[in-house]
Amino acid sequence: MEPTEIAGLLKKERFPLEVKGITEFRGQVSVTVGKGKIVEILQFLHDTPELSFDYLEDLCGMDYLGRKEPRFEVVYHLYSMDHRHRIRIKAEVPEEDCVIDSVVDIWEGANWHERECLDMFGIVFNGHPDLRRILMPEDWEGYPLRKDYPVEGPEKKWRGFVEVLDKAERFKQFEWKG
Amino acid sequence: MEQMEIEKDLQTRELTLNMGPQHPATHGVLRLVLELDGETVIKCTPHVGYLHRGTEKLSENRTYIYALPLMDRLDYISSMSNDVGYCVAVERLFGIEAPERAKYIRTIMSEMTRISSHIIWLATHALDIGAMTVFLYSFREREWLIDLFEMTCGARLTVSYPRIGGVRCDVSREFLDSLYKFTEEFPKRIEEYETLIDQNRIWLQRTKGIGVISARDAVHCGLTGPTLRGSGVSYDVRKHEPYDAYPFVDFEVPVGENGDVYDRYRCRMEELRQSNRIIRQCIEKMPDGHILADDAPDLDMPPEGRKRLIPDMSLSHACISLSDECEHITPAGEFYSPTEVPKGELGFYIVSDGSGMPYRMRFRSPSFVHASALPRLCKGHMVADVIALIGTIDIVLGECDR
Amino acid sequence: MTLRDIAKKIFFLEIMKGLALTFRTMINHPVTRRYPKVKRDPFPGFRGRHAFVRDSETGREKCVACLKCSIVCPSRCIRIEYKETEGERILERYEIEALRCVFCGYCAEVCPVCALVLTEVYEYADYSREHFLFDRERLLKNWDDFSSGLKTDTYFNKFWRPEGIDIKRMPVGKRLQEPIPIKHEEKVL
Repeated sequence: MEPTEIAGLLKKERFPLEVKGITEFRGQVSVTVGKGKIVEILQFLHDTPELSFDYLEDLCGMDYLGRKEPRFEVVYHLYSMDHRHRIRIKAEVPEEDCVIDSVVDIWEGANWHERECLDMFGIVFNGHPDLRRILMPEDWEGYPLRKDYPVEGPEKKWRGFVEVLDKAERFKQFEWKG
Repeated sequence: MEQMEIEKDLQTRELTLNMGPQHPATHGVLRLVLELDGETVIKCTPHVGYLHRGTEKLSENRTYIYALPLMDRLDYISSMSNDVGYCVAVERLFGIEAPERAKYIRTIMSEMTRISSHIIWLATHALDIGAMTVFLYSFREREWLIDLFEMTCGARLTVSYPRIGGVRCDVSREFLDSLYKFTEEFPKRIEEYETLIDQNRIWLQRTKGIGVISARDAVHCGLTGPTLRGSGVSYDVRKHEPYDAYPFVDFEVPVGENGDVYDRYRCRMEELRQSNRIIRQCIEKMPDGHILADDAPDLDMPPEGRKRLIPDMSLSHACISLSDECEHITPAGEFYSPTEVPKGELGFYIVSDGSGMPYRMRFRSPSFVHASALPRLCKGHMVADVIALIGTIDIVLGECDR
Repeated sequence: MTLRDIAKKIFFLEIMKGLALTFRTMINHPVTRRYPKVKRDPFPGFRGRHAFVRDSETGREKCVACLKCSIVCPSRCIRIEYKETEGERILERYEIEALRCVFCGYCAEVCPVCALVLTEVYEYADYSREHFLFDRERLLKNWDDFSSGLKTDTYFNKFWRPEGIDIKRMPVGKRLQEPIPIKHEEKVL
């Protein structure tokens, strides 16, 4: 099936209230939905035999600070190996209520992707078996990939980093006596 | 009474073992916390993030060309494939078409990188299991390939050779002749490696029946590449969504049956032969022409949406001058582009807002997903099998942590 | 089980085949090179130590302080200060932090007057970090060291005018760049 047809199917027949918009760019279709019934939408896409999206390629977060409301989005890239079609589902997540349901029961591979989304953006996933930081240290404060987080790092340095810088200063004084 | 006392003394407890970040067999800085009952693994928890360098955040502050050396260092063993994947993704987003010769050169480079990466996989996997000779024999071939990289672009490991819209400079006649000779000798060398380990009873006992994963589970875990194809699923991005010169060459995609370590090993050995075949065909069919598209962005692309004025040719010094109005210099939109790197499927999700810098750059790296499948694979096996499993999923921590 | 299988099991046939291959390779010529006694010259275009090309007329560097290399460097290791007089820029301070550099070669490729080059020298280890902050004089000295080791009469770096790229894309200075003559000093015996 063509991706635009699938998007149309979602919007008109099954979930007319949830689908907020459909865009197309260079042959790839994105469907923007609300976060309320996201598990049902994805379960429908996974189970229907004509669609059969059995492979979750990617799950990531997006931050649209100042550009549009709601601020965050969770983007799901789905691919079907039998029918060879692809679709992108974007679930809107507002900043005040930064929680969405987890899809680990449908695709097991979503586990670490959701942990990374929490680590980088601060979006909490309901029903995740083991939700904690994955790439940053456990006691890190702040969510690095948000747009208001500085590239150089926070002003208050992490305690492990302060130790390393201390040692580096001391070792710079080392003279090779040869 | 005595029997009960003896039985109380014989209670066993689980041992928590830390296979720390520094370990010769973990192929990087991977930390595994194993809970053992005797020698059998009950639970395995991987901890990653020791090599996190913030590539996604850094690329949001750099122009598209400026961010290219960052892509080299994602999977530092097969750096050419990462660059090709990035350039293909940006070209698809911008709507630029690379010239024919550049496509063939990039395909040759991708396949050379595939051979080189599989050689390192074979060498380290065999070394961890105990077959040390394969390591030294296979590095002979890798040295040949790396010398060819040096001949073309000046660097051996982290090349910044592909460019958005083509490649950086042309390949010489000497390069193609030497590479053709390599493709004639390489099949004999593959047979040498197979003589050493393929039918060896120790190898068979260590790899057959270990880490079995069914096709359905593998797809649901998100595995890709040879790790998935060992379970019988024939998914290869080069066949499903071809890019560069892959539609014009013919090759087969090897698929396993049982989904254990031995089948994945056979898949990768067959892939070495198929890559050899692709390189031969590309050299024979190589067209002439330019290697960079006309509308490819320049090296000093401006970061903001201000168009660059054509420099005044009368000045002997060429300085950058920018106009004052803001406008889109790149198309605005989003695109997800998958590529087949040696480890699996590397996906680039790029969101552009019209300026010279990407708004969001996301890498879907295969090593991240494969490392998340380790707990499921390790359950019920022994500690020595954990080493074989880390080798078979073929992770590189640079790509896992980005 | 056939006779062949039984023989294979008792006499370790596949292990013998592997050992035969290993013993044959022992007799063959080794593929390793005995560095540092035997060295291989790097291929032309190898990205090694940075150097400023000496202009054959003025004897100094050709840099015009256009700041292109500083802007395009991915690791931001080039620092430039200049003075502007009468529409011309005069270079005051030029520093490359070689320890931050990733040797991508973008600076040599983007320079419009072919002033900067990445030579083929790779053996320049030192004992202190200060020696790796290359300033103007040091960069010119690097060029002298490199050109005295060259055996050819002229030098033209691969990335100044890469082959296959349309000549219309390049600025004027690069289009007109000729191979640089190398002066070999007469050895006094």
